[in-house]
Amino acid sequence: MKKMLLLVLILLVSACTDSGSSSSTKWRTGTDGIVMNFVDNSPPSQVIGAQQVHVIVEYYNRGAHELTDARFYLTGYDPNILGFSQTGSPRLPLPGKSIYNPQGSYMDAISWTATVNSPQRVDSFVQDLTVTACYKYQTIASPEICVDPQKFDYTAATKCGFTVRNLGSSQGGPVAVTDVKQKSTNNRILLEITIENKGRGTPFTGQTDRCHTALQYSNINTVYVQSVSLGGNRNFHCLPGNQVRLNNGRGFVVCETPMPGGTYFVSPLVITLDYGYRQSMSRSLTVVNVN
Amino acid sequence: MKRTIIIMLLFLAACQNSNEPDIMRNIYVGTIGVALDFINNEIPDKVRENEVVYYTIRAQNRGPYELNNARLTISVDPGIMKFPDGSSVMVIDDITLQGKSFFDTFDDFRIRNIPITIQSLDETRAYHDAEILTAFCYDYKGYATANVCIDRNPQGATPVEKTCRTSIVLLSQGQGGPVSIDKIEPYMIVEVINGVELVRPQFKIFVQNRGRGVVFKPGSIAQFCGHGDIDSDVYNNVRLDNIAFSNFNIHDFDCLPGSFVLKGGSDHITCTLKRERALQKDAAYTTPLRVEISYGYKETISKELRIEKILRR
Repeated sequence: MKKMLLLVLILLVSACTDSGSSSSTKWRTGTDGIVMNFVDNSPPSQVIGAQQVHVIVEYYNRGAHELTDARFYLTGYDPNILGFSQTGSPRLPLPGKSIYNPQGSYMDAISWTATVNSPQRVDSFVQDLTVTACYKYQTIASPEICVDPQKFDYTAATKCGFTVRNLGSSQGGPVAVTDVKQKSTNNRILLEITIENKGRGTPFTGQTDRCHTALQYSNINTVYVQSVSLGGNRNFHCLPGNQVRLNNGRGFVVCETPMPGGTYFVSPLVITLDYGYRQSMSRSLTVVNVN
Repeated sequence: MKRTIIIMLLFLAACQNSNEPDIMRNIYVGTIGVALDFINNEIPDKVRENEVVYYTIRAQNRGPYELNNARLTISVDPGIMKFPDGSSVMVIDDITLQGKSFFDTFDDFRIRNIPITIQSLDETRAYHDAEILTAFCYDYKGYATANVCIDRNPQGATPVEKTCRTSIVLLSQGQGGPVSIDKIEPYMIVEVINGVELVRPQFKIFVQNRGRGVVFKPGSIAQFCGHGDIDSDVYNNVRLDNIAFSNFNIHDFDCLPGSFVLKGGSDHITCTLKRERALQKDAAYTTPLRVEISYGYKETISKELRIEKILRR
């Protein structure tokens, strides 16, 4: 009996222990940016005749970047049948995850309303409703790297125990830095940075306005390496350029900076990626004509 | 008290279920227009000379289109049978039958009960096999709807997200008439017009006679179901009345040839949106393409009668 009481006490104590510290300190994780879905029955799967159709999309910012200009576009339908007054949304701001809010933003919603203008002498027909989100996003990866200027000096007293650590597989955005390889020489630090699209949409560079129709092939599947810096002040120069093209969702960039003198040191590396992101979802609406 | 709580809970549960059943009633389906039959097969197979036979025929409109100028023609073997007026051909004009609608799915019908007098057989035969022929001629329509994808960037010149892709639409269920639009093949033609790449949707429309009757040009009932010559352009002719999607109709299309001529029971017409109505590049969308046709149709039915002589000693 005493043993059982002790066990229950231990369980209770362990339950009260703060386990949230790790999630609050590692808030730059996950592969989501905007998460959106249709509200139940909006649109419904079927409408009758000249009924009104409401399309309501609820969305969250589940990434680690504050949205300032997210835009949503409604397409896929015949505007002569569904006369939505506006197909795009205004620019919508939405905070993302932060150290104080590791879950991401509150839910926000956008809606469109139209009356069905059903053609005559038709039993039923289908209209597609596709909502595309276009937004600018940023991924910041901050692993630690160990730089060793005496890497090839066999007489050096101490050496790095690792090259890169604490990168993680995602950093709170749909585009992630998934690998950093350090290939240093005597006088240069070279980093091979692997970037991947881990979301279900398409990254792009350029304007977010009308990203569902206005993009060119040169824009899509590209990410801009905004900066790579070591310890906050040593900036890397990236080759072949700061714009990285992702092939099958994956791309590389090689960045370099002069090697400082002295002994090895561990420093935070900050890789900042800027990109636009386009993601869509669709639903079909069957219009039943009762004319 | 307990009962009150349970009743309240039941009310609450009933209020939560707001899912209404889907309503779907397709009236523009099927491959039968007007069906002819003898009610309950009450006409005897054998009759005696000098007897009066009541020929009861029913014409039932099973499609969604209204008839208002149909003609029923009944022909009997002259010299063997005759109608009350002494003739061997009876023509009933201007028959009207309502079509089905969303709220009224009743098959409208007309029944004609016509006395036919059998005449005496000559001395040389004990019986005679005769036939009563009935033809019902009517003008009819066909309204087909196909969900088509208007892809305004068909060759992928820009990475536009596509909600839908252009594909062949099969309409195997018919449109409630014997002549049906069976298939629509859409194709998006990219053309440079005044230096701008524009899209001209093109639709190949396939039509087939799926009944056992004969198709003729609409408005030719008197010619086709009367006496006299029939012009060659009347036979098997189906008119394309309209092709429409979004805010375009037949006037916005170039259609070749101008009408269907059902060789071997089928034919097709190709309609292309006119150059001046071509579409700007934009996102793809789904829309109902409506195709409307008109035609005349002749449905026939026959009844064989054995006329037996009354043998006298």
